[in-house]
Amino acid sequence: MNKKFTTVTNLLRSLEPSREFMVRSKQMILSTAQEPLRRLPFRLPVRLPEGVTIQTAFAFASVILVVLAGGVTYFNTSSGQLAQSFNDDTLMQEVRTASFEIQIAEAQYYDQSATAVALALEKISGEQDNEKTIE
Amino acid sequence: MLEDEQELIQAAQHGDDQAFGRLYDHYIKAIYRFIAVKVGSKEQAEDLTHEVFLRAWQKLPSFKSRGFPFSSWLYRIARNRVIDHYRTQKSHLNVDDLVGQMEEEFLKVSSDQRQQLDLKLDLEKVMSALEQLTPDQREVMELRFIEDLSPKEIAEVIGKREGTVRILQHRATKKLQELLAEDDE
Repeated sequence: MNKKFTTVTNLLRSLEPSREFMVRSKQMILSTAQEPLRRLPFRLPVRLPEGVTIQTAFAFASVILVVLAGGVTYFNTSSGQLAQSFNDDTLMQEVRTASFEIQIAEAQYYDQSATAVALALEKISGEQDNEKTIE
Repeated sequence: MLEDEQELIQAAQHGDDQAFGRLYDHYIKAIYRFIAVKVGSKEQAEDLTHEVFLRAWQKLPSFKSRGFPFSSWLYRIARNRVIDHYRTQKSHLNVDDLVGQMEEEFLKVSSDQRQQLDLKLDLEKVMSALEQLTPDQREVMELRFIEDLSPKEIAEVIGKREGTVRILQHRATKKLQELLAEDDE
């Protein structure tokens, strides 16, 4: 380190208060009452990490409350379908509609397959008639 | 650090004024010096030092060591008190006040050293160089070279990591050497 800096800092180390000040100040301080230790009215069952203060805990709890309140509001206002889905009547209505849709699909299938089967049978019987004529 | 410091702290926490008196006697000069280097004026430094120890005595029942020495706690109180002082007073460090306090000690150094040093001029140069550092760098340099604290203790006082303190010290030393070398040329 620079020599001048070292000499000056060594001299600065010599700074000290006056003797009278030290005696007077100490007497004044010790004649003052200490602040009593403040204890929390409750004790947390878990030990919080160092640095987690009461203020931090309250801030964290506030954030959780805001998130919960926001979530409930969202479900109630912007998600009507979701709210409806919890209704028994609506659910039964959905079930009935679904079964009706399934029945229509089945009827269409049978209609198409019946036509195909009739055509096939007609073709087979036509072929048999031709064979008999040749014989 | 005092040999029986932990016992003294515990006794003082329960209101033992004799125990606190011993802690006071041991740390008063260091805390006064820490403040005096920052404010310059002897009267202001004594007033602030008194306030630091008064606060320490009053708050001692709730003090928790957390593995750091008692002195770190005192330095932290002193540091905050100096910050408050500058926030409210808007005053600046007066080098003349410091020179006045150092003159007596200056007479004790060898005549060779005295010839090489112009106390006021060189103090002004060093203080001016310190002012050109960042506030963190300056604080680290003062605590390291005037208060003789370890990087770990400094880290606790200024609320930074030990590694950060070492980096701050390294950069500050380099910058100070450059600044003081410019002055010498």
